[in-house]
Amino acid sequence: MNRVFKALSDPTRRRVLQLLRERPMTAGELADEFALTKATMSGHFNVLREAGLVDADRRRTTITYRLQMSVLEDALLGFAESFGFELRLGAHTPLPDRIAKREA
Amino acid sequence: MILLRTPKTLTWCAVLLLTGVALWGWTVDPARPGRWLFIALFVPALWGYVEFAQGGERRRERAAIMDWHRIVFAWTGLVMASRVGVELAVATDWLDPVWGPIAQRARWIITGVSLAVWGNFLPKLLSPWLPGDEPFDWSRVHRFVGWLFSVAGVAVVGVWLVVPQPDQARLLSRVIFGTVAVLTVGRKLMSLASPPERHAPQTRRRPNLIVSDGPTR
Repeated sequence: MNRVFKALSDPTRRRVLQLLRERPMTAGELADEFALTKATMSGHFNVLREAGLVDADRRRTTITYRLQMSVLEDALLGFAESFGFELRLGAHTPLPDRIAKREA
Repeated sequence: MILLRTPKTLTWCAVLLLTGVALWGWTVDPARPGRWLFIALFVPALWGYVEFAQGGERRRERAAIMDWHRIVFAWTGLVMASRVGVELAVATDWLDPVWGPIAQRARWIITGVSLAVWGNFLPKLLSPWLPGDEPFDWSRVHRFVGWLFSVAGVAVVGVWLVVPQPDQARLLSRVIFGTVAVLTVGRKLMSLASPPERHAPQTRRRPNLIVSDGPTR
């Protein structure tokens, strides 16, 4: 369940799920909807896949993503959309050492 | 644990259990052979139909769907057998009649919870058809039906927890199940009427940036 919450905490991933609600889409089609690098998008897809929210179907060089959300996960997505919850590295969460050093 | 890993075995167990209960019922009340035949054949007939009728080209998805169906049939058989079993046990004085209404209430609550759980996981089932080959919009229909089953399951549980009269609760539950059946069939028929092309991922034609006006030198 932690993985599901983590996956739903990011607005980009939520937008990906909303797009997949319409129809299955290839990785390229999804990437075209965002101004993000392919590596970043690939990372988002991996998080969604690990949470079991999407299924990836590879055919030759094309990966097609399909929505695979239970009713409860769908309701959580709706809740996250309504209240816009996000996982932030803020005052309550200490920054990882590597990032903290860079920012200092 | 071995049984839980093999849904087909579970369904066979349910079929055998139902056959046993039907035979018991036939010995207790031989005047209603139609009822006992229905109890014995309902799950095997549905199971057989689904085993032969399930289409689709993707093996992994088909196997998951069939396992899911087998577990649902096994569960349905168990609920049916428990219902008829309690009824027969009361009729043959094996069980005190006071347990009849309690068993009925418990059975309906378990049925409601099962329906909600079934609905929750229904949208997780992936289409066994290749993109563009789907006879209907699998994903949307399953999402709609999943929500419908979940809400109906919770409603049935609520009815049997709140309504004091079993007759009223049974009537309300039947109305809920009837509405679910009509909406499920209606949604699927609506989807069958829509063109299947729009379910597939749209292959984008990339713009040809090299404009050729003759053979390459």
